[in-house]
Amino acid sequence: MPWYDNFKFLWDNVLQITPQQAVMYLIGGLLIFLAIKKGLEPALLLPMGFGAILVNLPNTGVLNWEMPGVGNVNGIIEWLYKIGIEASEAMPVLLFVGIGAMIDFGPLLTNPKMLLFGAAAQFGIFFTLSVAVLCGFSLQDAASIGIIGAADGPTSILVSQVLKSQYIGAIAVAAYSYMALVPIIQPFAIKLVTTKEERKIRMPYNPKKVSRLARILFPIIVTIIAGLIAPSSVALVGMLMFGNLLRECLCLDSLAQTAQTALANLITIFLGITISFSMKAENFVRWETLMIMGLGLVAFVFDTIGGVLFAKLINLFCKKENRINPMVGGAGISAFPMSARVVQKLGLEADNQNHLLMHAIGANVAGQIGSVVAGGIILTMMMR
Amino acid sequence: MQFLMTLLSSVFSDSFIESLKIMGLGMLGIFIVMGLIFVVILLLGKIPDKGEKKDKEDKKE
Repeated sequence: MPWYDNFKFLWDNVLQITPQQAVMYLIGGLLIFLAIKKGLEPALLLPMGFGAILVNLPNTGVLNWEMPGVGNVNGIIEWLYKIGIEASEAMPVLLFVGIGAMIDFGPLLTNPKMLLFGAAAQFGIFFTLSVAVLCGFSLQDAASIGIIGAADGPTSILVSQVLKSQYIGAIAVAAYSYMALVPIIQPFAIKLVTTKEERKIRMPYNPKKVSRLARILFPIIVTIIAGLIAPSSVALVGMLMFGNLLRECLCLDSLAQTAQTALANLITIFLGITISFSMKAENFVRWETLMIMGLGLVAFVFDTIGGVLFAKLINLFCKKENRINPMVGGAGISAFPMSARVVQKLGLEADNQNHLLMHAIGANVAGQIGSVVAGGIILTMMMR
Repeated sequence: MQFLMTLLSSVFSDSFIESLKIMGLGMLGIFIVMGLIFVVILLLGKIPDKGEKKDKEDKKE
């Protein structure tokens, strides 16, 4: 036996790297690059990118493995995935407490019309579901892919996990990547279906005061309504509204602060790296991943188009002075506050005195409710 | 050609018809939930703000 065979253990593992795993290192590197250099959803893409490298190291210790003479040894990422996502969807659901504590529903409460756009801009979810079926995906997988259009990472992860989709990794990557790309995708989609004259439409903003009681009752009543009509949405809507109730009750400031900062940050750190469990090379490096990325883009584009066209439809029945700028409809997706900012920017581009931000924020907040309701409705319908 | 055949067979598949049904019912469901929330917000809007109430009382005095 040559002397260097004693050191074989040093390169044994290196020789076991498969071409698919090498591709995953590149994908992981790309996600880290996009997060750091381009600032695209860094809080999630960075942990996901790093996790993609971790889980694809041969015989990696972050996944469960068999140690000769000892037996099964738990790996941290697989354990986190089983406990935090597979067993109870705890991580995405708990993240909603933090998100709820961050949201101010004030702009929506003063202008409830915007709720309609929060509903119309979910069209991309259902359109993509049908397109995915046409592309040959099963109904469960198609529904999971469609939910990328919720523009809401935790909802996408939760729905695809409950529906036991085999593409959860690709779905999470698509959801977060496109959320980060909203400033590029939405202007393109909006300009596709609006004229410059329509983008110039001004909307006066008349802020009203919202009573404290109304702010407190809103999350409670919304939870009851959503829970009665789409019971599967209770986990999502309930946690979102619970977080909001912590914020609005004004007697639990330190809890609300914790939910907004420490809780949301902690879960975000672990959610990204945990979801990378589903980015193992054998599950990720396949044609379906590319198709899912394409379908995710379709979902975002048709969400926007759905919202914009619905606003144009409403305008047919409105007096000239009450017309809605159709771009505001496009802000009815959940990507907050990027979508509202996009509408404000496009409004100013068309007319430098056209300030649409507050209306767009109302629609954007409505989109956050709409997306979790859509997630719940899809789950309810798929379980029938 | 094979892709076209797959696409055509998918169009007439039960899953596609089911997906269209989900699209119709799903969008309807979202509009119903959001419509109800809309009504709730309108009703909540009727609740006077405490500060506003005080102002009105002060004016009366």
